[in-house]
Amino acid sequence: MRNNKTSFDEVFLEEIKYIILYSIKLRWVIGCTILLLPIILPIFGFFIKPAPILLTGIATLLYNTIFHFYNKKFIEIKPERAKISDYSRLGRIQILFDYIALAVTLYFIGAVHTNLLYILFFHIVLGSIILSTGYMYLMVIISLIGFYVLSILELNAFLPYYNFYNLPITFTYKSITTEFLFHLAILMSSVFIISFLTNKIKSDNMKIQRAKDNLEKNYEAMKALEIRKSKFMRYSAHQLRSPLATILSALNILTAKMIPLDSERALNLMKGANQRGKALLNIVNSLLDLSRIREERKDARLSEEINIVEMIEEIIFSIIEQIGNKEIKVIRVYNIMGRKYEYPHTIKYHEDFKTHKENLPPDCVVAGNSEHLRHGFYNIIENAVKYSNVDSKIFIELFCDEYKMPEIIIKDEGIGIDQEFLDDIFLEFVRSPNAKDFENEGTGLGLPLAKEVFDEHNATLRVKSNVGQGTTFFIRF
Amino acid sequence: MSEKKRILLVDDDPTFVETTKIVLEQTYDVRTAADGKQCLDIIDDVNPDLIILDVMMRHLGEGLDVATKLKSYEKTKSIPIIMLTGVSKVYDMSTQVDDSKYMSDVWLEKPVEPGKLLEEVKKLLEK
Repeated sequence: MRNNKTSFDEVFLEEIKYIILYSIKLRWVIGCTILLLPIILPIFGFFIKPAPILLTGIATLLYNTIFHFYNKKFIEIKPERAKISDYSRLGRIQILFDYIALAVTLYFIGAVHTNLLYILFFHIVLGSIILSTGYMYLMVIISLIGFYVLSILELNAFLPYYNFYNLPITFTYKSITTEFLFHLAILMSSVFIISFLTNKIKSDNMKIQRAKDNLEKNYEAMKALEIRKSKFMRYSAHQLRSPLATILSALNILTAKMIPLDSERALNLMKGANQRGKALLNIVNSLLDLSRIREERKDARLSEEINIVEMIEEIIFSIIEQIGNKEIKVIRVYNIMGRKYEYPHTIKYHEDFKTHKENLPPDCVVAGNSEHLRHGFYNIIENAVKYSNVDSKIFIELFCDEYKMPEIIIKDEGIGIDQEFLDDIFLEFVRSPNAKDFENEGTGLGLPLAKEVFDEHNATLRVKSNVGQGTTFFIRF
Repeated sequence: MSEKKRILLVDDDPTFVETTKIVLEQTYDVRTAADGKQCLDIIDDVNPDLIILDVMMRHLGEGLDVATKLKSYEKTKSIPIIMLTGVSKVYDMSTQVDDSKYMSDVWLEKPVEPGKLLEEVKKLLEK
């Protein structure tokens, strides 16, 4: 599978590959054309020396064969691993050889002093597109210097001058220099313009590619979310259907009078069905709560000032009966602005919460949605009570000062969470097996809701636990 | 007079277990287990002729895990299994790695009509 991130050069990989491979094919034609030049040109009245041209043509075809087999053997054999550098290398060598072949051909045609020099222009364009700008500048300079030197040698009769038009030598040093500078200016500008345009296109392509990669990522994320939602719906339906099936089975048995209706057994059956009905109602209510919080989260109204200490105390007060029944001690330690406030005793049942509220420590405040936050804390504190043994302790500790955001630790000495399920414990319907044994009632939706709430408030919720060794929740705003 | 065939019923909902037991006990000797672990613990002692398993007990797919184990043990692999599911076979199977070995056993959706249950049990026991 292709790596999703495309580098700058790779954006053009397909185009470059195509050009380089196509040029090999094209060169067969060019090589043959060069071979035919000694026959064609004289027809139009141009007289040239055939031997060197034929040699060049043959050489062209020869080195093209080498390119062809190099490509087949080294590049095409491993297409996935062929990198941009392989193609660049091949491209550079091709252009170099072409240059030489063309230069030789042109020399023997005498084209330094005709417009045929611009046949080389084709290579400049191609090279500027597919190779690096620096390399092309170098090519232009070297080749022009080469021609300049050639011209000087011709002028001084050190090298024969092959005249395309069969005219006498008419050029001078001055005219050569002018030509040289003129050609230099034009070719360098061409390289510059073409490179500039090419880079612009590449960078635009790059942006498009990045946007595409981004979209793909988002699409994948959305698909994953859809699957998660669909799974959640499925699990929910499963959870609802089970108790419902039991109730219907029980009613089936009773209405069919498969057992005597006034028997103890029938009564137990009805009690059991009733219990399953209540469990079903619990699940439905919890699902509605969870959905509601998820929906309301989207509005993200974190506008209320919430006093955490007061909230926690109020929650404890609201489940005071459950706490009392199990004779659990809920010990609170509030560290606020460097001072410690300890509440080792649970609020007495008959004590007025209003009075208690007035004696609470100074504010430790967060911004948020009080209804949601209360629900989140409630679920965790209630869990601590639910899964604790009789006559055990629960510790709630708060750290709050002006330097950092509030931290709350809720620790119980209860049955703990199985390690295997600890990672998933914030997922819907996940319950540690020992939880089910200890307390049959439980929807597995309490912690997901709490997580949702704390996420909404940009707080982290973490848990540490071991079976039989209690559970500790860490909340950090 | 041949002995009643024995059925092992594994489900974590005691009320459901009771209703199913009522349906079956006229014709069969019904034993029960509350979860997968208990089922595997008592399987040798009970030595049932047929097993009825709930797919999801204490955790997702527990029933399927138990079924796989039972099909792999020498002593129990020939015991026919009826899977009870709260949703549908397709959904439950898709949550687990596929094991087509027990595609051939029976899947029933809760709630099960008493008549249908007895019929399927009878069919499997006659094989």
